[in-house]
Amino acid sequence: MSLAKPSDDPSTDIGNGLTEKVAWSITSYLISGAILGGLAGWGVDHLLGTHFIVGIGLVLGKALTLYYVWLRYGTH
Amino acid sequence: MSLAMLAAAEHGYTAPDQKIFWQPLIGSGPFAITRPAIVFALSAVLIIWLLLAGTKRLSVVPGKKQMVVEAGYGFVRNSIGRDIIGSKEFLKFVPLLFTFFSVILVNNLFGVIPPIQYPTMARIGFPLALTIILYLTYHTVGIRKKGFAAYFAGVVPHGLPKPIVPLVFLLEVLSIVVIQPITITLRLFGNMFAGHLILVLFISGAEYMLLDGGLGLKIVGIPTIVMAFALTLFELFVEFLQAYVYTMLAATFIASALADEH
Repeated sequence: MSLAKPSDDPSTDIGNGLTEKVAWSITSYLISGAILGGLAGWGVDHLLGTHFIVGIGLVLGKALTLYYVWLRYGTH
Repeated sequence: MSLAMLAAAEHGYTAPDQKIFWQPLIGSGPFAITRPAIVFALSAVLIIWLLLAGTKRLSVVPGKKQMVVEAGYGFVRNSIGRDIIGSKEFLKFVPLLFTFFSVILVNNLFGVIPPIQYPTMARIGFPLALTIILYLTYHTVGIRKKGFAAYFAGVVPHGLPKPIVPLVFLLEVLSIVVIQPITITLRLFGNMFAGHLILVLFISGAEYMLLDGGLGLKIVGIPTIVMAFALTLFELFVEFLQAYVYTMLAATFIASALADEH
């Protein structure tokens, strides 16, 4: 955790809350992704009367999250 | 010897479970005045007294009490508030952050200070109440600053491939509206809850082994009580750390609600 020095000019200084937040955000995304995919899969299951799509949804949600985390924090 | 046989041999000892946290003192049922409620009230009185005593006769060369208060306040103000939220808008939030920090720290430390020895944050209601205040704060300031639609549209970072934008939007909204407040609450609650359980287990276990156990149990009771001391120190560290982490995360939520891009 590197704490950036606050800049000398207060009007342009917006703090480093966003860099500070990365680790915590990623945790939150990973949970959210599984929930989103799981919910979507469960909904489709509910509509079609099947029982296996919830698993696919969970995995896809997780995959989306991993891709998104990489896209957002791993490419720059 | 199998575990079941061990358990049967030790019928005299009951391990602590979540029931140890329910300690009504006055009355019963949902409106009982419980031990954590009294401890929490005590913490408020203690913090007020500390701050008043520490700032009564302000001098340029601070005394002992004033040093402590200034160090704590300075830490929250500068290394949490200013560094994370930024010097442009952080002053408004320093009182809130300092309140979070001092309330959580004192209540956590109560977990290892005899005779109180009850971390109030191990009852889910206390961290939840703090988080509700935080939740209303950061959404309100974000929506006030940017407007409702822009606040929620701003959660998607720029320059993403078009097809995944709606999915990312859902992901981010779910994250800031549901998951983040839940995780910050559970992080504090879980740490204090588990820590208190472990301490109770080691201390009551050591007591049972040393007082009621046979010779073999008495011998293993000695390392148990040593572990109880070691874990108390560890718990002390965790208590400071959690107070810091909660306050820091509160600041990051506010910072990201105010930022142009989450």
